[in-house]
Amino acid sequence: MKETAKRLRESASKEVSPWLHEAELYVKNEDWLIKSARIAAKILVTLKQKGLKQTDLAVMLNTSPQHINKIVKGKENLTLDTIDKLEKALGISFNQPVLSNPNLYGALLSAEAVDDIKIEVAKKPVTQEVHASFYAAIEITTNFNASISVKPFTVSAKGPSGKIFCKYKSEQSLTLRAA
Amino acid sequence: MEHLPIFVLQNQGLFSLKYEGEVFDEFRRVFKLWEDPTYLFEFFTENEADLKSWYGGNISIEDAINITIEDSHMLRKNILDVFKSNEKNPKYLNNIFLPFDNETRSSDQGLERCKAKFKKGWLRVYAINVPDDHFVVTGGTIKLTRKMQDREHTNNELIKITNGLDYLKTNKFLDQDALK
Repeated sequence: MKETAKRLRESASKEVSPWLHEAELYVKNEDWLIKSARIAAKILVTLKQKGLKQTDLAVMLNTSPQHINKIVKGKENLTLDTIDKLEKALGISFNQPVLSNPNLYGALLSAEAVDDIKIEVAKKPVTQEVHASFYAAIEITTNFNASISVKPFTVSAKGPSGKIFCKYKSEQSLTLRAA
Repeated sequence: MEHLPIFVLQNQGLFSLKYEGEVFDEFRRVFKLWEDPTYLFEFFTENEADLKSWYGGNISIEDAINITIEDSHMLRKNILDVFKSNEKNPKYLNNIFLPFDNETRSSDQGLERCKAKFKKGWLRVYAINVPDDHFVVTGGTIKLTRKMQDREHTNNELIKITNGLDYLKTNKFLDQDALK
């Protein structure tokens, strides 16, 4: 190890960042935390659309503003009863696709993947793994001859600017391989 | 200013700067913001015009919040993977903290080469690479425009990187070899 790295370690604060502990806790509770945050996002957008404040929602739900604040921070492990009350009060449903535009996340992935691949594909075959966050349709645009494997589907594109549409389930890996 | 360890492994280490008067170190601060729907709602409301033109995608504020929370969770898991890696399945910080940008990659300025970033979508974590495999996080933000100078919040991150470099130089954590 280089002397500078040693010095950096030795002179670090005795206070260790709690980030690691918090990150492990988040991973442990990721399923409900992410769902809770999605609900919070919809509530915040709906409140703005309807010209309502969080305090108005607290009155509508007969609860405290502190409770609403915890809900919109995405930190509340919501009961079905609370979800039902929120839906009725705001006239919305939380049982909807994650993204309002189902092609959106695919477009973001496509932009990143193509950008990354362009660097190397001309020189040698490359495998690019992309992890999707949402169940969404993905549009992959390639500027080269490529076979594209999307588990559990396998599809291929040939020729310049081939386009592929496929359904893609969250947390599965997407592999792009230059032909 | 001081640097707090996030974790230190045998041959690599991740640290974060903590600025005077701040409650959180920078690494913790950015992840706290990126998991907070109320902060993200305010941020994307303020920067809605940039959001609408990001990659030409007509992205709603609600979608932007959801994407940010999912993407930041992936970044979180990437870092945890390094922390939990072992000899059989080694993972390295220098595979996820990349050179600052293409322009500086070939730069002959040592300081420029020390800048690193860790990104997913529009999320950015900025760090300084202390040879060989140690990274000191200076901050992070949501970058919706092409250049960091384009917006105040991204430009502030540039200033923080410069201040971070000064701190590391002053305390001799960056030796002459690193700056050649």
